[in-house]
Amino acid sequence: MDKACTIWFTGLPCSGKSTIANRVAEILKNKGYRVEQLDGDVTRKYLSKGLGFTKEDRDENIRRVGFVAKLLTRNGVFVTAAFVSPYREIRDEIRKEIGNFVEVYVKCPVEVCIERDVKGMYKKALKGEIKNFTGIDDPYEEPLNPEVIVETDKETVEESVGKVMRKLAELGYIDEWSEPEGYSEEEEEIVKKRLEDLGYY
Amino acid sequence: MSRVFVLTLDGVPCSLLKELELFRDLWGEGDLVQMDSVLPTLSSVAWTNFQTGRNPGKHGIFGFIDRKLNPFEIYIPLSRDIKSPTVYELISESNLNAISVNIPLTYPPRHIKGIMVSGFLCTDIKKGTYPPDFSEYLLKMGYIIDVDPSLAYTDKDKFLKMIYQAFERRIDLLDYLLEEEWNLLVFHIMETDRIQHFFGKDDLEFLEFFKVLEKKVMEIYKKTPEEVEFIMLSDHGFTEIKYDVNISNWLEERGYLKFKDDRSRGFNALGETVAYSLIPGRVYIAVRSREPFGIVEKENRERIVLELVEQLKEFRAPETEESVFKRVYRKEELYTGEYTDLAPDIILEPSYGYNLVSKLDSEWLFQRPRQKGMHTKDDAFLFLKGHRVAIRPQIEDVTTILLHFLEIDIPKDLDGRNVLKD
Repeated sequence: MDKACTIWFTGLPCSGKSTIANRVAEILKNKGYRVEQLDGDVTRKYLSKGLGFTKEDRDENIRRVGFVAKLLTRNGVFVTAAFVSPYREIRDEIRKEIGNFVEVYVKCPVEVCIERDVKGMYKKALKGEIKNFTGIDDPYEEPLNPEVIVETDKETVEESVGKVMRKLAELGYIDEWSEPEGYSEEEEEIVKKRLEDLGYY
Repeated sequence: MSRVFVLTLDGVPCSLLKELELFRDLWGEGDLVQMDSVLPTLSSVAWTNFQTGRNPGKHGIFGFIDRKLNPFEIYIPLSRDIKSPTVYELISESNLNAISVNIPLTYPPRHIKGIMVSGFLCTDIKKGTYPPDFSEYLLKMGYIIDVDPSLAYTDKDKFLKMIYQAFERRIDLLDYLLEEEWNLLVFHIMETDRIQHFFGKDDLEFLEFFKVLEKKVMEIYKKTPEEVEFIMLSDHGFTEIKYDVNISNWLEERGYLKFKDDRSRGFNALGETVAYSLIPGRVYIAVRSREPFGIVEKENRERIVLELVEQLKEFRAPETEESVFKRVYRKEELYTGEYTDLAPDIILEPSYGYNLVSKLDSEWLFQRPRQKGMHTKDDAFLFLKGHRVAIRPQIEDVTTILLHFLEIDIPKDLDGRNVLKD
């Protein structure tokens, strides 16, 4: 059976975990690997319904997700898991459980995350309408030894995705990873000439 | 949820559609309105506004070429240099199928759920198509990414023939893709821009091409299923060029830009320089220790910007006495977002007829134009079937409209507005 792994994306809300996880999943699927995507929206609806956002409940949520990820991974399915998962201890616990575990720290300053605020949650948290919101009134414990760190305020999505894919290849989970190609030298000359002829260079 | 078909016609002016009464049969079927493009008014910038729904301060694309700092280098931005997510990622995330063909600045192609065929400036169909297998179909049908514009200077008949060839193959592809499975189909016609660069409204070839375009677009429109939301737009307008104006020379004449070496060596020849320019109408302050030829201390940048803005506002063409610029902007007036730092310090919006270039290797300030047409910011168009537009739209608003049709949550930081009436 193929050797699969769980790719665990952790980081502040709106740091870009899902965007990168989705792209990685898409690429893996297109390469012919079996992939399952797990994220908070799905698991909190089906797997962890009723759990809240206290530390105990959050840990329990992650533990359950980790259990599902373990079952999938050992059966040759790649799992992309995008969860804030703010506490180091539980992340390390599921790492041990799952074994084939690639932790991706999706790093982004909280100020940038607040500006993005895709679902308007930061706004509510800052007004005090939501309690225990990571980055506002609940801590985020950075991973100490993640396999990959992506910095979404400095990198394009493609650059971040490239880092993850490269690591998967390096660890032997996928055959190879080649960056989407740019121009060869010859092509670059053609492009420059075109731009000049159109008056854009 | 609706399916959405976006047909994009590069550089077609709203005023031209009205003047030539093009697509007249469509006018009663929805709203056809004039739309604002972006500054600098270039396809790579405008279509990135469209792809991301955001202004250049957020997506980081300011031209077909740009400069890197530390070390200073001129480069050609690619799709991977777009610094915010595109509509294609949002759609893939929502598990919907998208097909995008020929939109500028989509090379290398993104791995979307669906098909992506890169547009201008892609040179290789195989490398520019995702999934790669689809390139086989394109190669078999004789698909052409773009015409070779150098032919316009050497063999205009051949150039025109190639325009028709590329256009016909593209329409064949569109015909085929209409039948495929998609939630969003974005299809771009580039030939409308190419013809306007080299032919004017008085040329028969120009009028004939637009008649053929109208016929083909109407055939496609009639084949489009009734329930599909149909959007058609351009990314800028066009007008006739009176003069090419060399902004580098303007800066040189006033002592802001200096050469220490033979000017044919371009940026490598610059010496103690205060400001320099990139095409079209982008002016940058040369800061000491940032640009190798820069002499402006960081704390003086703002003062120099204001000084230059005032002088540029006074710049008139000697023969016509007309202002060369419609408006002169500081970057803070045009852009918002974390990449505004990368923007030029000053952005020039040319008056109609004054085509702004930045040629370090040429000593002229005004010159009779090499081409017939130049881009305009305020004369793009938007057509929406079965809907009315409430306010004058900007190109990034189209992104919000199509996300709305696809019932995808609109990201908070999008600049595009929902400009639909009701």
